[in-house]
Amino acid sequence: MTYIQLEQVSFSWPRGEQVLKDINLAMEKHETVALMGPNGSGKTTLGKLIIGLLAPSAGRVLLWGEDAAKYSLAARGRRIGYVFQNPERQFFASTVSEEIGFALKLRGMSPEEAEKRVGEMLGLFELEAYADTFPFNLSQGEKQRLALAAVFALNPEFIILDEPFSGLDWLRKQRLLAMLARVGETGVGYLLISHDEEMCARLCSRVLHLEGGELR
Amino acid sequence: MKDRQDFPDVRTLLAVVLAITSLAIAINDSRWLLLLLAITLACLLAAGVSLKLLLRRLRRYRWLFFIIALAQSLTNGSGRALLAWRGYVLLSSGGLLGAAAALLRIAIILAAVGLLSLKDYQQMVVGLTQMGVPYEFAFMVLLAVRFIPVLMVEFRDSLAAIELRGVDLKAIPLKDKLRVYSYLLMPTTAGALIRSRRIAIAMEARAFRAYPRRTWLEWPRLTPWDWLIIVLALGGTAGVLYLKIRGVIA
Repeated sequence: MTYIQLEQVSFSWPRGEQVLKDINLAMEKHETVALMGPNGSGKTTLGKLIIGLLAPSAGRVLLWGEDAAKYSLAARGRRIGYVFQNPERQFFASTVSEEIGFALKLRGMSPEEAEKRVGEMLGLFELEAYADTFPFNLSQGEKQRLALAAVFALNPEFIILDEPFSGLDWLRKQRLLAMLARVGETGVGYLLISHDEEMCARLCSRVLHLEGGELR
Repeated sequence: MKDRQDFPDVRTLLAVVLAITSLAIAINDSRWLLLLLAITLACLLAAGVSLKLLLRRLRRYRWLFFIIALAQSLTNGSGRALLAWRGYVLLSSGGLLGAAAALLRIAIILAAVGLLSLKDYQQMVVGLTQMGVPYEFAFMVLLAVRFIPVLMVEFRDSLAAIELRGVDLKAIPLKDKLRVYSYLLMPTTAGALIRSRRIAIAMEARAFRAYPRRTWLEWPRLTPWDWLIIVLALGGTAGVLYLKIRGVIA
């Protein structure tokens, strides 16, 4: 059973502009795949179609061998993590710790377990010093790390990362690279949407190129 | 000198909208409301507003229409009972008329506000300033209005972000649901504050309020047609309100 599969998927905006055309793609659970392409080629749209933020105009997305249309956003989110291009978009808590622990408690984890997990994530993503900081006051690199920590805390099987390197300087990129490599080592697969050829080559076992809405 | 193509002026449109919405609120008689709706639609057509676009906008409020109509028909028990259950009147002729009046009233107000879509944001600021509204106030109000759709999108995004963390909002208990919704206010408010701060800095960088006087690229003047429409709209409204006070119109 293929973990994520796209069959003849096309996507157009309601006004008719076509973004993706007949995409066929299969990804396995532990695979690390990079999706590259110029601005406006449809990379983010493809990620959003997989996670369910958008619905295909034609074709179908299959998750775990079944039509994804039957899964709610929450059902997809329980197994696949999604890190937004702009990490601020996904923050809603008033401190970094709360941001990481928010969904854990709502998903039934005991407060003690949740606290332990938050501590682990703060350590793994080097955010201990910011545990009580307001997420919107973090730097771009710290926000990226927090977004990743909040998603990774939920033990996803697979993560979709949309442009995680954008706006980061060389040093911060290297740190994020090391963290993603650590994520990969834990057996979690990911789809890395990025412009950064070097990072994609270093982190992913497969690199896909999207151009003019088509996979090349 | 003002260009002919600027007709109608922002002040004329505001006067017409004020007249129509005041009448829509004051009048209760469905026949008069129907006439007012016809006049409003005629104004829109004359001004070149697309009725198709307007209908699309009205369609968004269909649930509001339905709820108000239902509430009106259930709470207004006057007139002949049309539907009753164990002595309780569920639907009466008065309720039906009340629902029709409420629907017409909302349709008129939304359609009248559509007239303002003829002018862009800058023209509205100039028009309000010409009416004596302080420039800063007019600018800020319109800026705030412009951000409402952006805030709505952010609210929706935050909701999606919560669901993407595996939280099924339909399945969690009410107490947790309320907590989640209170959480959603945080990014929306923080986003609005951050954005306002950025805009304030950008405006100051462009010398906003640096000098006591402003130079306007355009300072429109009212044409005789504008004056005629304003007088007709406000005079007509005063006349109808007088008739209502005298009890001629319900």
